[in-house]
Amino acid sequence: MKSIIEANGLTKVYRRGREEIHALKNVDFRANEGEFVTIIGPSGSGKTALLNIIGCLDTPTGGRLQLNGAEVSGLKERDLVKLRRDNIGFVFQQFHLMPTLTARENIELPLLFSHKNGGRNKIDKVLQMVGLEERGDHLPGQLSGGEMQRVAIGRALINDPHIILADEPTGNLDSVTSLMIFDLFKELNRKGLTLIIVTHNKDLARRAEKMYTLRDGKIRVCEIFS
Amino acid sequence: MGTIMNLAGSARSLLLTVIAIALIISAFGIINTLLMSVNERTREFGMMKAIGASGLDIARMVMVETVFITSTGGIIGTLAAIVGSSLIEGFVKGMLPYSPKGSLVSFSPELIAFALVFSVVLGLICGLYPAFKSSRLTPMEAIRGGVE
Repeated sequence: MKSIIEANGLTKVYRRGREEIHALKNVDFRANEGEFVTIIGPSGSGKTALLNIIGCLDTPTGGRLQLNGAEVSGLKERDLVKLRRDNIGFVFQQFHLMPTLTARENIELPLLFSHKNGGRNKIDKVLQMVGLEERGDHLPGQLSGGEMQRVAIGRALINDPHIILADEPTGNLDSVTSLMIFDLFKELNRKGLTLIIVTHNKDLARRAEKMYTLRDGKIRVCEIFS
Repeated sequence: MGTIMNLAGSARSLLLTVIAIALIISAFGIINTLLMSVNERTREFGMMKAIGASGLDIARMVMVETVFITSTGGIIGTLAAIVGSSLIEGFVKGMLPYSPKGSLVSFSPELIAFALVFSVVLGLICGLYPAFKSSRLTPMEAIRGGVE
């Protein structure tokens, strides 16, 4: 199967004053096209640092990263933006929705920057995909946590990315809603999307095809379930 | 007559100085307000960068918002000046025992146009630094809510 994310020897060092924090230590990570991968580990283990580097939101201190066949290391900001825009959809724990925009407008937002032609049909399709066809005209404040996360997932999908990266997408949700969100991720995965999800929830993480366990900035275990 | 002209000239110079100082103070006020707004919206900019906005997109957004706010302020200010000066004129005329019969206030279209253009130019100048600062944020710093 074709590899869509290939990271070798990734290191990330943050400097806080004179102190150096080694968030990632020589991490190798691989995800194939259409794979559902979860990353678990205790707080401070480097999960989010890894996800942010994979998503080109942050740059590694060392190592190499290839995304969809393109070498990321050393790319200029302009090229990183294009790579991110064309390949990756992000979902955050805190949803990060614009409170003054409706669900439909929030989903439409990335099209403003990508200059892709969305059209009402495409947004309707995405709303339907995330199960919010009746809630498109509601503001985030009028939606439940699960619905807000569905809007965020819709927003991540609108640019037709190859990869969805989610950082603790169920961290602010109850267990039932978390399951529903994971079911939605599974559904998207069945449609061919590659999903990389960082979570604290081991039970949910085991529903993926591959699970990486990070501790102290290193990958300790990589379990394959199917 | 010369003395009166000298007095009027001095008054005009004084008035222009006061206006210049007011403009400088208001420019700093605009920059300060914009920087506060940019800082408060750091996470929002981070999210926008994560969903595909470039630094240029963010800078452009800050500039457009700044010019919109300052030009709206310019329009409101011009209208307030027209209404306010008429009110003040009425008050001053009521206070003075020997006031001229004609209007003390005059408006020229050129002056109004200048004020409006100036408010846009001031917005452009004041928006430059906040726009640059917000465009330079890396997505990670922005999402964490940090500012360079």
